[in-house]
Amino acid sequence: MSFIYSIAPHLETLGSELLQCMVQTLQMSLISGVVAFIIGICFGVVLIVTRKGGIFQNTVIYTILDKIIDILRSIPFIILMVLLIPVSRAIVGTALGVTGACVPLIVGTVPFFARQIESVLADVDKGLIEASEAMGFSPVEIVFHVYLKESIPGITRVTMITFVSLIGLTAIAGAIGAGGLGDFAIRYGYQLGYQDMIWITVLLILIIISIFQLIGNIIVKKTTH
Amino acid sequence: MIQLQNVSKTFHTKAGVVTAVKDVNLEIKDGEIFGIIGFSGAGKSTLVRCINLLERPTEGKVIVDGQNLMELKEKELRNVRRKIGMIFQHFNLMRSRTVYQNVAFPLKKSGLSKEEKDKKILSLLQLVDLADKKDAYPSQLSGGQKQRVAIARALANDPDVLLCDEATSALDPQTTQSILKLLKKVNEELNITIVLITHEMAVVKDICDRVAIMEHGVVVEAGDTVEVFARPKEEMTKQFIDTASNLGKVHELMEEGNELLQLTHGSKMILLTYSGENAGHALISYLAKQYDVEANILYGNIDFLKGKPLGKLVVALNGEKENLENAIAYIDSIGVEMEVIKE
Repeated sequence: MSFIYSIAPHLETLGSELLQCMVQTLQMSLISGVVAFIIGICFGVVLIVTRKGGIFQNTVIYTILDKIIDILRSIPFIILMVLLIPVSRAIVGTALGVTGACVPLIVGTVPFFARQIESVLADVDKGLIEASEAMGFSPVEIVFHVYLKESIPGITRVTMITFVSLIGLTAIAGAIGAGGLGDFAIRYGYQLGYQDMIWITVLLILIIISIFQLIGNIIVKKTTH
Repeated sequence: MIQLQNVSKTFHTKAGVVTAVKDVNLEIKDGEIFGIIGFSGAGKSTLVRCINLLERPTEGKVIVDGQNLMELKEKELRNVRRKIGMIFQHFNLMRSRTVYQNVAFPLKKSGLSKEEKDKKILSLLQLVDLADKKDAYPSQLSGGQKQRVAIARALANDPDVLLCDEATSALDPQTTQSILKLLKKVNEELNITIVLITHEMAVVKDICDRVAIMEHGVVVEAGDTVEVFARPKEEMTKQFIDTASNLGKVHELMEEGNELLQLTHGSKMILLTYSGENAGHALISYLAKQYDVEANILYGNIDFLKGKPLGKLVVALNGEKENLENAIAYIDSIGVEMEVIKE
């Protein structure tokens, strides 16, 4: 332990706070990650089935969703957070802390994720859809048994990509009162100039991302045939 | 079994209105193998999809087993579709599922118990000769094996009809033969009506009882396979027969002025078509003996349509003018079809 403290002298006093911040980052990314995953898949599916030639072709729904996603994606996240303060207050009762950050994190992640899900699902062979229709499956059954089931490796891959960018967003959220590792790095690394704390923050984030990617890679490997 | 009445299908594209199928009338009988042949773009893929309404015709009636499918609600249509199996050129198997799971897929809605499904799937895999591959994934199979899996899957719900959309077009000739044999077995043993579309003469002439020839969305000729190909009425049909044999090549070489196909003065080049009963007749040697006419065979081919021989000979006849005329009159009289190609 003393060896670690000799490299990172501030860890001794800031260690418990660092730990707390890491927990906050994990909370933010997991809660908003799970919600964004579900909503993103729904939106991706809606985009695929309602687009031209889809199994539930509906130009109105497609165009509306398509435009909303484009608009939300073009707003820089730090501005989006400020913009969504009243929305967060209305939905979760606060715009501060982990709870308050979840709303903008979800809104910031879903459009990006939905687009990627759309492109993964678009790769499902049209012939499979046709074959399933010929077998008498309904559109809803085709979504679950064919589109989603056949896309598990692709969905896993884009989930990993999105998770990395979500971690990035949680750090930005830290800048305006959400807490977490981003907040920690700004306070001690930037404002107080503790180089050792910056390095430790980077290390922790790398570990979180690596663990997540390791799990993702295992899933991809197991489901690709 | 299947009746298509005045079926038309038009597509509205950016380039304008495209009529893929135009006023098609066909009747496909119970238990037969019916072929629809045409070059690519003839509308045959669209036509076969009209049978299970994957493509909804813009006009006309599609009657399967006495029921007009055009009048059914979505849900009823889905139930009917389960009794119409379909296989495709590119097999359309699910990559994430094993052979066993692929065949199990259409049984999801069958209501059978787990044991019944298991028994069914294994017997289907036995039928298509792939029982040993049940745990393999499609990526580990050859093209022919994939099509066998697709056939097993198409048969899972005990269909009355099997639609084949260019089912052998992505396969090599040998594999094509084995798949055709399997289809024939399915037709005979399970008494399943098969409708297959193809651009390959070889497929039609091997297994189809009856055939329809399509061009520009229209069925130009239809009937008994042997009958249609032995006595083609339409230009399109003749072209198909020529592509299957090398006869097309003969015409081509003639146009290029190939010296083998040059005639000496006073001789005639004729095309003889034999079918069935007169195929065994020793015509050439008889002509030489009886009429003193030299017959030089330039090209010959015998096809077997559903096991019946259909022979084509291109012969240059050489001799005295009178003898030639007598010889030709004789050929006519014995019922061998003859066409003078060049004089």
